[in-house]
Amino acid sequence: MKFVAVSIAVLTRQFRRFSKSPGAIGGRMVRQKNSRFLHLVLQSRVRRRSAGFSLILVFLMVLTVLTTTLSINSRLIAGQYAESLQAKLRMARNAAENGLILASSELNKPGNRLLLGNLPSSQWASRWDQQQEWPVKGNYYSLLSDNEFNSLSYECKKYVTGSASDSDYDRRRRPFQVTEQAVRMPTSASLQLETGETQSSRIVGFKLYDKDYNLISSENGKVSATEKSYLVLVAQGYYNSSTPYQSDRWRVDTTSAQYAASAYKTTRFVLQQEYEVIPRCCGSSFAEPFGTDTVKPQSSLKCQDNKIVEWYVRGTTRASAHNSKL
Amino acid sequence: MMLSLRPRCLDSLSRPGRMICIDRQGFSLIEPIISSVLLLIGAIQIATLFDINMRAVENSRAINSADLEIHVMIDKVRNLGSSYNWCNGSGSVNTANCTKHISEDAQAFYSPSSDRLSDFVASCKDPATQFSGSRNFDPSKDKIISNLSNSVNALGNADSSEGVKITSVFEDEKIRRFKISFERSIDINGEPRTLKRWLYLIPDLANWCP
Repeated sequence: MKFVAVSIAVLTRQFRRFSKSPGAIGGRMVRQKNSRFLHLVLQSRVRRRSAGFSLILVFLMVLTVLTTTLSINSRLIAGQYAESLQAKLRMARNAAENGLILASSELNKPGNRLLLGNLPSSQWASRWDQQQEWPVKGNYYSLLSDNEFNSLSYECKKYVTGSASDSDYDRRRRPFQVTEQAVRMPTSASLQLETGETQSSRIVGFKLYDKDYNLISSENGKVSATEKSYLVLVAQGYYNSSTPYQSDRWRVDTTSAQYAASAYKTTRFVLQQEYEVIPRCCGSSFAEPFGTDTVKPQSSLKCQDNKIVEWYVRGTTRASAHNSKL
Repeated sequence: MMLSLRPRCLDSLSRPGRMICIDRQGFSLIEPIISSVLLLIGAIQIATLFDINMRAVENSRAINSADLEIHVMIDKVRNLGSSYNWCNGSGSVNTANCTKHISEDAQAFYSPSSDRLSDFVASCKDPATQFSGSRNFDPSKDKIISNLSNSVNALGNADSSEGVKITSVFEDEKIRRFKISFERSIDINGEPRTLKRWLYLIPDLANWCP
């Protein structure tokens, strides 16, 4: 045991002596071996780190650039959508404006000029639906009886149109026929009309006021035969690229499945306008105080020279945009 | 020297910016290839996405611009219709012919004097004739607003690819209701596309007709 202990002590001293000596070959070799071992271990770690780091960097770069690009694209698409939105609203507004012109001019057609002052607006459509109650001749319906019509001045029957196959009586009478488009206007079932290839319009509001802006009842009220009244029309314009029309191309087929299916694609715009309703005599222009014609309307609904009072929708006194919906 | 450098180099690997030992770690060929391929694919995707989007934006702007151009023309026509007067006896778009402006006296603007009102009413009772072979009526043949019809048509271009082309017809000749079409052709991805808008117009003057 003593020998073993002495041997270890000698060897340890020798090793320390060699290792402390700067020029000792044994110490260098040991340090070199230790250093190479550490170097290899670390180098392998570094390699692994280097490889992973490079790929992650590329992934991050691609991801960052893609995210940035998508953000820019989203911004561009949003701008593009806004432009498209504006264009659609313009189309719907345009349809509403055209609808108002069509509605007011429909009431100004010779056959419809008697409606406003001769029949309360709530009865227009119901009388149309009960056709036998109207003075009937041929296929036409008007507010004038045969006697009233025959006694009219020739100037009131001026605009004669019709096909050659019509009898002379029908041809003369045609200008005084009421149209369905006009009589449906005050109801919730007003007709939706084509106002462009992809646009249409419908009257959604119809009110009459007297000269003092008191509401005229739709049940039993009629406009004055001697004073100015006001008509307020509210039109809804529609823009829908797949709007289906009936075969005559002036009325939208609102009952079709195609119309129901495309409803979500419709852009709407609501416009309101107020018009003056001026009484005048048929075959004449506006008389005092609305114009300079000498033939004046009377409260009896008669005029001189075998003429009768009719009502004309004129001018726009007020207008406003209600709302829009996409 | 190398031996004395290594420990410092190894010690400094944790610090950024010391790349002296990297060249001693070997060169991997697969990494740059994969990286390049990924970057290339990413770049192509981005380029395609941008190209499609920019084309869509360009097309949208072209359509929007043409639509606006048409609407500007619609406003011009509408103003023309409201300023059309009977001051020179046969209808005119020139308000200088009138001694009174519509804002001062609308009645005098549309029917300046009673003796000429009879001429006006007589002209009203002579509506336009039909286009041959068409259901529409020719507004330029109307006795009241033929000048207006000509002025409206003159506002537009003959070729819709160079500007807004205007075509006006009477949809209802008795109440002088115009149906005016506005056309503008633009290029969409090299293909011509024509935008068409409609305007219904009744000049205020026509309301004075019986």
